[in-house]
Amino acid sequence: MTVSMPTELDDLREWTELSYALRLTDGLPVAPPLREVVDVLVAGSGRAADDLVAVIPPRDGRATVEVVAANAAMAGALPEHMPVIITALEAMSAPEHNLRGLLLTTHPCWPLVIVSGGEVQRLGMATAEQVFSGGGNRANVAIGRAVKLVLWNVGGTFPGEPVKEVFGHPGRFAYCIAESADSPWEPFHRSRGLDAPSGVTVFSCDAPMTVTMWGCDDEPRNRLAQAADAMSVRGSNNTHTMGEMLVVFSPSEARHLAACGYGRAEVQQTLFEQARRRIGAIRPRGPLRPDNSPEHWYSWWPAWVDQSDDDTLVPVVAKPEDIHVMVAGADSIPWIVVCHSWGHLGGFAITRPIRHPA
Amino acid sequence: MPYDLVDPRGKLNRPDPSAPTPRLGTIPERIEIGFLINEISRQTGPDFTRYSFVIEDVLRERHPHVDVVRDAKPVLSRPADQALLDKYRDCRGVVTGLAK
Repeated sequence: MTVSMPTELDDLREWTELSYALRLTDGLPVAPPLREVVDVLVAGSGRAADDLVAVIPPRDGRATVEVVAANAAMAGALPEHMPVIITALEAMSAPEHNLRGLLLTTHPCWPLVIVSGGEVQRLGMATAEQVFSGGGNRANVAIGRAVKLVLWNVGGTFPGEPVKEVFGHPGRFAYCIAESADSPWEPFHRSRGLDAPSGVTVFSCDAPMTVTMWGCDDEPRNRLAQAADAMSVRGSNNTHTMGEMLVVFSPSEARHLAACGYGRAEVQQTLFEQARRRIGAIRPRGPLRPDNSPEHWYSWWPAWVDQSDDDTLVPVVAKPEDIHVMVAGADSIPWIVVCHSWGHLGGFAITRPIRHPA
Repeated sequence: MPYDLVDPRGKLNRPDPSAPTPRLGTIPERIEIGFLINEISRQTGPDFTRYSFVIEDVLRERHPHVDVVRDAKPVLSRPADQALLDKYRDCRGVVTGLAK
């Protein structure tokens, strides 16, 4: 049962306690969704207040433009952030993203919002130091935070009941990154087939795992093998079910690979070849798999995976394009980030163009 | 002067789930009940398939003419597709189990 919220407040000093009492926040303080602020944010979207953006599970609340704007106001967003916030919510509502499943799963994944192209510069988004925690930037944090608050307030994604996520995810507070303009490769959204100046991609993934270049020479295959090792850890959903993964290269590492003749496709192909493990290591023999007979095979692995042989090397994705490659982070020492995902269950990357007000 | 606020929670797109579904006054002589298995168990965790047979036995003791539809989703965390849901079109109720 939803407890009704007062439509007006005499004293703004009462807002903080009211927001906690009504569970309108996940624990961090939020700004009051004042009507005058919400109206300005709605105008920034260029859409009507009652336009439906998405129905957010599991509560199945209606996220109209006005409701999204109310959460954006609580997140400290500006009117120019609204098109990105709305695009992200629309993208994660695509059926193949399986938003209901991923918001309720025990798995610690969360929708990462990736902004690429000219919109990054237009909004002055951070792409460098601390990019995975907002980079000290209002746009990055407000966009990620607004998405979070919509999923919290409209979707009712409260821990315990109904969300059974075992450990949680630090990105649940705000999970938004922007691609660096220093990438030697085409913008991320274009690599995903979107012919537009800018794009928003949502990809539900685990917390980032960083990979340094300790012990590596300059040979690209050796450097990528370092990332591939992190991609193919035992117990990961990807190792067991495939799905999709995100690999983020710092600008200096991306430039090094590009100078060695590696485009995005070569990076994806090399990672696809290297990020593999033996079936015997992924699924050791024991009571759950006493032998290699077909009744003990994973039904979700493609038929070309020879499960009759313990020495078969199984990739973490079914095809190279399922490894999403982008560039972000500080332009200093070479570094790579690997984000595992929910595997084959959903959370797949969805890319959409940003609709600006006419 | 009061400050106007906008509720950030949005209206529900469906009836309030806290309101219980009305109970059937009487149960027809023939009734079709569905069991939707979340995923076929692969030697891990509780097995709702087996549990559904236990429930079916209890049902049949009380209502001998119950017809049962039983099927499984291919993957536990993905929604059932329309073709699968269509199999349950004539059921008066569907019992499903969480996880496996």
